[in-house]
Amino acid sequence: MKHEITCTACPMGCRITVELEEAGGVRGGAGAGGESGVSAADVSNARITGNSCRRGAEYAWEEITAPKRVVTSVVAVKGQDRMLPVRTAQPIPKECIFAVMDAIQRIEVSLPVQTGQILVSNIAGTGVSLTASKNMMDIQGGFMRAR
Amino acid sequence: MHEVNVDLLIVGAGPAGLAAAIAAAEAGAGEIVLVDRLAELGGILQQCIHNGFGLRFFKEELTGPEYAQRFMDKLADFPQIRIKAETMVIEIAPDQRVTRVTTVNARDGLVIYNAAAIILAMGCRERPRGAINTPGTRPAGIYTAGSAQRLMNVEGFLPGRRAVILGSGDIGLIMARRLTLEGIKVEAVVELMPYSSGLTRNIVQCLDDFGIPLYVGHTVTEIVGRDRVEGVVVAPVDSTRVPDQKRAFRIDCDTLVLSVGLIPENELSLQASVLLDQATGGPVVDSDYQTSVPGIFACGNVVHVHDLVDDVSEESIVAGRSAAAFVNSRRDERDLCDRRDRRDLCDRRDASSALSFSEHRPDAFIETKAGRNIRSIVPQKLRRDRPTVLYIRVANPEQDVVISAGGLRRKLRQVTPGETVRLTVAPEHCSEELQLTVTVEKSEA
Repeated sequence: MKHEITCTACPMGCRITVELEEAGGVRGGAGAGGESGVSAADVSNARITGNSCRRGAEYAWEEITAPKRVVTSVVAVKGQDRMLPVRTAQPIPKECIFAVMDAIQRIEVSLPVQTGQILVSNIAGTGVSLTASKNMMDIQGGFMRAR
Repeated sequence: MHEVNVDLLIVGAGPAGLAAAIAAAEAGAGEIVLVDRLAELGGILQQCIHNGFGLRFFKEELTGPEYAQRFMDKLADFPQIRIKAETMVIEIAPDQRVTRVTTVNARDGLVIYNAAAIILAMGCRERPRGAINTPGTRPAGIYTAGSAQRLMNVEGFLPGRRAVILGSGDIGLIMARRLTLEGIKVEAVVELMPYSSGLTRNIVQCLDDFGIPLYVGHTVTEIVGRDRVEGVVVAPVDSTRVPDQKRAFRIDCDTLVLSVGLIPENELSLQASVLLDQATGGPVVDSDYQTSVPGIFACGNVVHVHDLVDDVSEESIVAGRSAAAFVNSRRDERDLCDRRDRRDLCDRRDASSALSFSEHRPDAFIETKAGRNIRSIVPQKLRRDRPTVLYIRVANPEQDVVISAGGLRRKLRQVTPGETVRLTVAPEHCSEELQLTVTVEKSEA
């Protein structure tokens, strides 16, 4: 298997190629540790080319074995005409993005809410919690911070 | 109408205004008024709900609202900062020893502040359809990226169902992902230039992740639809950016999102006779972020459009501290004059921060000059006595280059107009000359 990846570890944007033999196969070359059930043997046997640094190799390996993303969106707030921005507290597996979005779209929260407050623990079965991205208070004029 | 004397007034409470206000308060600026036209502080950060902010400044990855919240929390420690929300600044007029700032809001009516110093932190504006003269009808469904973003992220409305995005800068890319996540089909992102000016990370995570096609070297040549957008005509452009109509094709959509550039918001600066730089569209500033008008400072996107909010915070802290130093030196001067009743002392000002570059002898500052492949440099006037961080934007993408500023040289694997180069120039890098030329050259190696 051959994978082409654009590295985002820095602004260089190297085009990195990762070659894996069938059945998690074996090839010589540099590699680095990843996650999600890939053994160290698999890592050392991947053939990674086109990267300019070690970080690139690490990034490429994670991108093909267990790509992850932080999901951010907004949720409805009871009695307010403004949305509350939310985020997953950690990156979630890339293939779960739309399952997480589905779950987010069903949520309605009550005020007040503090930044970092957990709104849903284990969103869409990812094991990651959904948190509020800002303070919102239930006062006249929405969430304005008057002084 | 009534008049109020204050030490420092800051126009705009976005990332620039917030950082400047806190830095000025910490530096002992005295009584500070922070004015914003919206009810909520934080400016554009409040609608930038995506993550990626603060990697350099806070060493962690925050969303826009989280980044703003950090500063708003800190603001609460400074009771000397008075916040005037939902307040418009309608006029700025430099007077003898103060700057007169006319404000209006529903609660207080018209109030004039006589400020010893002010900081301009109004940010920037999006270029609309009219700025790029796209032909076609004028149906509903054409948005600037920022207004589509506000509708979705703050007000909770979807702008359409099938969208085309014109412009592949970071805002265009971020919106492509945002629309997709909410179930809107993004048919294409169209880019006039032969390359995207967005961060690589955004191309990967906003387009590649969702299989959204990017047409570089293309533009929208027509908008179709009577009441609502029904489609756009897209055509490739040649090296002089003239569209080839023979190869044009139509993409059906109900929404066109424009992400075609930002312009520093300088209506008030012009009114105050602040000198602007043609290359940045913002005020010419010195190492202290003081403009050509004494006592008027500027920071953030009003000075030049930034790629990263971290850079805004960094330069706004410099502006806030400098404004505080200005206010304090003017106060000392005034105290001295009052005590000894010697007006002549007031005129014998030394080369302190209480002077703008326009009042100094011409050799007191070094002027930065754009050399080969440089579009803009901020600050434009460097002080000779301290290091200054330069924010440099190149004109064209180039690989394996050396960027040099006076005696300072740095090798870079790649430069692109989408990513500002940050370079700290120290006095030893500068000669006795009045100019410091910044250039990008092909690396010899």
